[in-house]
Amino acid sequence: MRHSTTRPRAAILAAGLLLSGCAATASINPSTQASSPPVQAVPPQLAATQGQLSMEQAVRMALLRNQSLRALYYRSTLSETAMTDAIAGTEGRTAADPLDQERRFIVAATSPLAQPMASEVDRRTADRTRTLVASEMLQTANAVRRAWIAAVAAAENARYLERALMSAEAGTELARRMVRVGNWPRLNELRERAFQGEVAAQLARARQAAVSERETLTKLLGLWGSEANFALPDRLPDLPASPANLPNVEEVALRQRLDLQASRLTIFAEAREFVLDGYDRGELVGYRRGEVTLSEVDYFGDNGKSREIRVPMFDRQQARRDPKLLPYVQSLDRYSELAVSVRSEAREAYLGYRTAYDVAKHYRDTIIPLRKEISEENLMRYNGMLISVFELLADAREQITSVTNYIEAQREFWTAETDLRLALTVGGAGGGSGRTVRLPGGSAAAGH
Amino acid sequence: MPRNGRPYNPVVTLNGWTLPWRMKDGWKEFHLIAEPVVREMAPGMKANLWGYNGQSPGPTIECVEGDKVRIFVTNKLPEHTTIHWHGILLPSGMDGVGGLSQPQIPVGKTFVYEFEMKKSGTFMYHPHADEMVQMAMGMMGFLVVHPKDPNLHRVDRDFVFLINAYAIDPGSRTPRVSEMMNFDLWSWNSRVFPGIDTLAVRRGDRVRIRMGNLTMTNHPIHLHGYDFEVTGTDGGWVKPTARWPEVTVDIPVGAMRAIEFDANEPGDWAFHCHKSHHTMNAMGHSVPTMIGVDHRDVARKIITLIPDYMVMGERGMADMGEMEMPIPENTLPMMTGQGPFGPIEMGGMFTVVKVREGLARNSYADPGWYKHPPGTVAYELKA
Repeated sequence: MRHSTTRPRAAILAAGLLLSGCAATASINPSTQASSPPVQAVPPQLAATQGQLSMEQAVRMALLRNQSLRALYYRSTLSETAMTDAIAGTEGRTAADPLDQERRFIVAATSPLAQPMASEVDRRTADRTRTLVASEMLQTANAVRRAWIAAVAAAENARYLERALMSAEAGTELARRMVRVGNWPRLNELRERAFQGEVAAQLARARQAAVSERETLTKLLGLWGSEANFALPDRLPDLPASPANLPNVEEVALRQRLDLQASRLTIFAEAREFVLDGYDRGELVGYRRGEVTLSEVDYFGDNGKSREIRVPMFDRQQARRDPKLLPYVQSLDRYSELAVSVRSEAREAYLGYRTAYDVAKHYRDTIIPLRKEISEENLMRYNGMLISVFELLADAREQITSVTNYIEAQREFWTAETDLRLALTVGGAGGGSGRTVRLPGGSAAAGH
Repeated sequence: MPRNGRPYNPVVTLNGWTLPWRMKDGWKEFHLIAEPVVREMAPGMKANLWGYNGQSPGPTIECVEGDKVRIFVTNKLPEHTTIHWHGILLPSGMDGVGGLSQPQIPVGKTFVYEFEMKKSGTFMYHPHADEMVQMAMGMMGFLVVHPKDPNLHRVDRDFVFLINAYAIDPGSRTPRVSEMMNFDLWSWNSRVFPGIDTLAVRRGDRVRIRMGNLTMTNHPIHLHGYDFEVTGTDGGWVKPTARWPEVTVDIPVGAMRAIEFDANEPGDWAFHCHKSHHTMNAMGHSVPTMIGVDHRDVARKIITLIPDYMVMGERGMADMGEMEMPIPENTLPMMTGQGPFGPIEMGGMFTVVKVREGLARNSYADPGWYKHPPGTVAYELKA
């Protein structure tokens, strides 16, 4: 085909943006930051330039190299070496449940924070620190997964639209030839050109979206310079053969959620501080209404074995009159409220995950094959001179919609998958950075 | 000659046959069964039609002037029907117009028509109940009444066929019954080229071709190599003094024409409707003119729309460059047929009258391609 003389300006613009985006990234040199780790600290399997960066590789890389996480590690006295050791210790060990593998990594990485020999108070403080650090790690992992999924999907979308533009150019070229030999009025060519223009504009937007999504990921990974040129897979991973089946999703969440664990730690500490001391001094006789049993599952513990701790329950009216008891009762209330939220979030995330799976599967198994069959039927009708190449083009335009929707459905599934992981561990999907993390001990640190 | 009843010279129904009868108490009895049928319109394409006795059009009824005929009609269709005896002079109550001249024949019931054939000629039968649908589905048949005197209007070969048309979307098999104009299969006896019998003729034979039109438009039927005379309509025989020469006879809707000629010129003579889109099979009516526009390379680019995980089209598009391109199932190529000199590029209402020396009197088999005497074929001018 002759090269089109009306090459869309928008596409050129998009290409220009892509180039200038790279240049801008390269021109910033953060190596002057004192906290930058030496490059040799990165295990070779995490070198960004090696092969295509998978989603889980990206997560490991971010846990090690994300700037705000590193700041947090530093403040919580975790060393880079502990991190790399944890990675080395869990890397290559295949786990049936990636969630469990991730947990093992986080447990290993934060284990230096555990102080089993310390005093009860120190141990509680250390546990809370560890919980917060792990929460941040999980939040960041979620953010990285979301960014990785978005970047891969956006690039896939842009590449697909490039093909769509090529086809639209073919339509325009054909229309030009039709008009030139007198078979068509100019109007038809104008219509083809208008369509091509629309596709070109879509492509420009899609390319820009791909650049933005990739930059989000690059930032989270903490990469710059030549390492920012890491390669991503051409498309999202295939859907799993079947979705995770979690009939007891609420229990899983109640067991694993770190914010619940943190809240429990608070309750236990307060129970000791305000309540048991009061008992000991005989101040609280007569206030007591009963006990509640909190089933404590230690996220960091071995295989999530639970133990039950009974803490006292007081009449709220009475407790309000005693300012010493008030924080404790309020903590219990917050714990109840949080547990309800955790259950709700788990149900919602799980349903979202299953729905996203079904929708993506529906596109994969039903809509896309239908589109394919329609294309084949149309092709046969074209062969039989029953329809023209322009009907093929019209069909192709409907395919654009279906394939774009399919890519979007895949993106939604993988996003729902990582959001489900988050809802089962820490909650607050879509966050992970840009929040303020308050470490126990009073030092507030800006996250990102 | 028939085995019983009055003697006559039978007709030859293209891609069809004559309905057997029995004589009973001086009545010639026929049995027509109205029913759904599958008709192969040409090799590679079958249509779900309605017809009689297993085929569409129904078998040809032949009888003789003066015959008393009794025709049993059994309705195995999913809806009521009747049969109208088009052009026959008969009592009003035997005319077969549902609701007007008789009750409709309900599903599963058999009705009896009885009348005397008062005159010889060329007629047809078709339903007059839900007529548009039933005719769009292929219900019709030929009806020939021979003269009492077998030597009257005698010819050597007497061909008959009905002209019909169907709207069967490519890839489907049942006609669209509500179609008014956009028929895409123009057929003779529910067959289309290359599925229509050739007309084998012995040189020197007197030939009659009787044609009836039950489509929704007229058909100018053209015979190559001869001039002929219109010798009959469904109104009767044309007096010799009133006949005039033609090479094309226009057959109006709902009418019969009989033409006759002396087959003195040997050869393969095209015989077809002169509406050129009636010698095409299924075609796209809104396909733009591509003359002078090279577009194969453009079509090839369209497949790039489908990412490779859809495993689409590459095979199909590659096939485009080859001779055999897949087309929708149960669909005939728009133009087809292979002749001795190459593709004939026809479809629909097209066949060949094959005039040969020394064919056997009763042989109607295709004698093959005509062997032209040397120096009688158009030739390429050599520089």
